[in-house]
Amino acid sequence: MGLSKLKLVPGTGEAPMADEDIKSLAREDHARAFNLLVQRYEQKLYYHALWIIKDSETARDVAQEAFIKAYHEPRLFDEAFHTRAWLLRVCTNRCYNLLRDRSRRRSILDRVGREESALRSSHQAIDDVLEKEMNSTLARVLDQLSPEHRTILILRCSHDLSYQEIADVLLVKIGTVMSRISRAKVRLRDLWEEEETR
Amino acid sequence: MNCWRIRHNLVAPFLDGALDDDEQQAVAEHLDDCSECSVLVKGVASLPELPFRELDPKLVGPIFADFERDLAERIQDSLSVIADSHGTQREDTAVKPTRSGLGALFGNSGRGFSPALVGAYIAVLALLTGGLAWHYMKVENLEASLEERKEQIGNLKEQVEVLGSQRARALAGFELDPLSNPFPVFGSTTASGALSISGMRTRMPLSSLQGADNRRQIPLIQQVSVDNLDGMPLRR
Repeated sequence: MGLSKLKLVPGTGEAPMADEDIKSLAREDHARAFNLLVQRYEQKLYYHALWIIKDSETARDVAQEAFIKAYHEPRLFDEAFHTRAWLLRVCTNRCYNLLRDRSRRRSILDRVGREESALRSSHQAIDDVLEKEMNSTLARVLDQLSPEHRTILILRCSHDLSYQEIADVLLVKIGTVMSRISRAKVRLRDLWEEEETR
Repeated sequence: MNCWRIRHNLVAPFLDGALDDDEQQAVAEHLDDCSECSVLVKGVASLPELPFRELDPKLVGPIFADFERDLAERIQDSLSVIADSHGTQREDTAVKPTRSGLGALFGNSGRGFSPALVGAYIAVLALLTGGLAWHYMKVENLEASLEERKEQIGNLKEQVEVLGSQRARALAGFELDPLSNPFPVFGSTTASGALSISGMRTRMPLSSLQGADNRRQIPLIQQVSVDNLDGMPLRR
């Protein structure tokens, strides 16, 4: 095809470069800037997807898909482009789609009597850890939340985004973010108290 | 401030201190008065830290060990798919998303000018230039035509003046008789009730009818001595 090989290298453990610096670097060296962007966000996107979808292999896949989409996004290094919000949004939407597909697939698998664990292979170790954590009361309670409530709590508590940044990720008004987090937390408290009184 | 609003909208931003000062104050005052809301807010505040934390690096190390290499391959695959679908070969895989200046204008993304695009731009420019030239030629023609017409109008005016003076000379000594023709074109200056040129009856004061009206004293002449005035009977 005559395509020169794209090279991306893992991070060297140095402090990740800020978005603004990556954007200014992109004017001179697009490939290197993209590489730095991957290094900066790969773990964030992986964990974001992992906490929503709770499957290591799929989470890694989702993070990579977000970067592939980013590579083809013409505004990626524009100054006004909200890179982090955009990446998290792409990741979130992909997870929602997969969860929807998975719920369909699971219902089919349940009918034919196959176990879900058969779908997992290479990321077993991480999934086992997650499985163990899922046995904690809080994890069980969190699992009962809707994906929307779960996602907004992840964005707030794990990524430590401000209300405005969460609004940018989810493309909703800041008032919606406030009420959605409030409802998620009240729901979590109700479920938590139910679990504790059992 | 009401309980529903605190439960459904404000409990989280209140605990995070993300509300306006006024609203923060209003919620605090409500909590002092409402034990139910107070219990709710305390319950939310005392929730344990959510377990969304990163895992042991040793555990996730293998996940990221070949992350970049796999990603590069997948991007390469996606570029191949795009290149195939466009039927073109790309020498440089680095897409430069930020286009600016002349490069953006000419669709140049750092891979050189596309001959098809350049051709299209030249064609558009040629069309624009041709259109402008045609427009100016048309304007010039119109201006020349206008001058010509002005000249013609001048000539016609001269002719009208000449004819007018000829007619005035021919009519010298004649006077119109408005009563002999129900629709006379010319009105006598001395005749009350004569019609105007437009055919409308002029409004004359009654006094003018009773005054020095010499209409009846002038003998009517049936025989017209000048016969080229639209059949208008004249009297000498």
